[in-house]
Amino acid sequence: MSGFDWFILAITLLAIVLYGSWKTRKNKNLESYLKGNNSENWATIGLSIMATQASAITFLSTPGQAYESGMGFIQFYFGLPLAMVLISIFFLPIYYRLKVYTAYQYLEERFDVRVRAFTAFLFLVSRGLAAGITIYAPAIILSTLLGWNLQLTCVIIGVLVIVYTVSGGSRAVSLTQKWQMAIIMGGMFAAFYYIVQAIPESISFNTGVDIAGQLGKMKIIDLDPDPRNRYTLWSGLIGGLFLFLSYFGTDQSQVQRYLGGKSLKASRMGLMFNGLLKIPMQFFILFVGVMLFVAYQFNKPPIIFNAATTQIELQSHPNLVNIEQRYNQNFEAKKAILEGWNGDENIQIDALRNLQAKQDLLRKQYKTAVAKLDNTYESKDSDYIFLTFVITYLPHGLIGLLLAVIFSAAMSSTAGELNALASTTTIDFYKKFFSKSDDESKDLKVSKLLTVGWGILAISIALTAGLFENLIQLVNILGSLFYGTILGVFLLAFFFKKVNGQSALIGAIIGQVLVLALHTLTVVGFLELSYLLYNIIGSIIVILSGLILQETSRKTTT
Amino acid sequence: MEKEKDGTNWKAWYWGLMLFLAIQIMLYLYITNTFSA
Repeated sequence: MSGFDWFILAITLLAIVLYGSWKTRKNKNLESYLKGNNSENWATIGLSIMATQASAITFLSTPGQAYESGMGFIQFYFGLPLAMVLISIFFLPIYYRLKVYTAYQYLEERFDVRVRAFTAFLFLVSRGLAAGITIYAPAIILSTLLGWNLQLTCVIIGVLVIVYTVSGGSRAVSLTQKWQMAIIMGGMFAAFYYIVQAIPESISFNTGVDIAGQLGKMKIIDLDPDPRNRYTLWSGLIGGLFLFLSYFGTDQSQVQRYLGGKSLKASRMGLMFNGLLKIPMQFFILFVGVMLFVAYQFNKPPIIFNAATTQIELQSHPNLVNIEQRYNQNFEAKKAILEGWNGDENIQIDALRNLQAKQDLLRKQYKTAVAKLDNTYESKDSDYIFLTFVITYLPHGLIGLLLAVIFSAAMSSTAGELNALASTTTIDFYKKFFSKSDDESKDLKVSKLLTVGWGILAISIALTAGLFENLIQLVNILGSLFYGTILGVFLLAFFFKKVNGQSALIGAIIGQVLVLALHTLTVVGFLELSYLLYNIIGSIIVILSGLILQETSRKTTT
Repeated sequence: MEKEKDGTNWKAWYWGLMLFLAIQIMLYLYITNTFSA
């Protein structure tokens, strides 16, 4: 990294923090701090929703995933537009009518305070842990590839977010997210341009896509009905619908984004904006990864992308050197075939596929051999692929911009999370159980202090996350473990008017316990369940338990 | 929060969004069949 890269990175991050703090310096009360005085237009809401969802790991992992497995991951998002429509029709008008600060306030209106507190608590647990990982996940990759200090990287991301989130609240989060999205997309388009430039001139764009297709990277739709297959059209439409319904409809980090709208119309339009653009955006990010795969057919990729994560001297082990030599010979043979590619059927397609399969096998053998020598080595290296290309092939200045993209994405997601965690703690716990006064300035101070507190907790989790490998894995699926229950409670509230608070609460506890039990059985290998199914199963158990309990209690009383 | 009059035809938006999703899925099916071996 050159001085120019550091300059671009520092200026971009400083500008975001100063802009967010300056534009929102006049926050006087809780309403303006938590809901931004309901002043956001639809475009800000739409971009803010997208920025909250897209964390840094989205931009680091997604191209790597397409590089390894192709475009099939796009199907995961097919349920999102359906969820946007349902939230717009059923959830949003109720939140607006009741003028709530958090989604969980509605549950007290509909059921009772216990159901509200229980669901708010589930949200705080899952989102509180996730906020730490939102910081840690990109920091570990940046620190490994660039030799930065991991702890310092985590602290810098966390402190920058705390500064403008504490000073400007919800509005600062939304306004900065708008510009962060612009930086992110600008950076990704620039990266895409340089990836295409890395492909030889003799290979046209269409030929590049054709090569990717012949090597299995352009299979976007999978119609396989097998539920064990994680990404198919069906799992995307059904599993994705439940996941996104719970995430966008009941997770406060998203609900807070659209409750800041200046009108119901603006909030609805923001959701439509997300429904229209999310799939094309994910398609583009995946396609960046596919073209990266094509570029690496002509520019030799390292045998592993995360060599810096291992402490051993790779070149001093004859076995590793031998595998790498065969990998290099294989690459040259494949490149020679591809340079003669003219798009017709005469090309040696079978030979090409065999060489690609051999390349994948040699990579796997090398990783296994490294893992035998170093038991701390993590063989999954796809998260490092995109950033490796960026720091190897992009010109100075743009490297700084791409690093600003990663920081922006980490900061935008973390800001949304801290803002939502502080709001839920303030409204659903502090104001509900500990403070009945109407002292606005005191409430505002408490809310700011809680934002700092959650920020410090997130940094602390990020600083210790490396010690708990399994915790990271758990946090990655944590959302799905709790979302099903939370969505089930909301669906009971919206669509089953006869169910009361007692039945809903017990139903929610039953649902949560059963989902955790199913997850435990999956972890020990007794079951084979995709985490997407937890949302559907959790919701259905909560609804059925709630209905049965209600019916039983009605019969008992009559 | 503004109490603005909302004359938006939301039904058209919702059906439009569903149509856009269907078109995208068909396009992706076409790409899958055209480029995949």
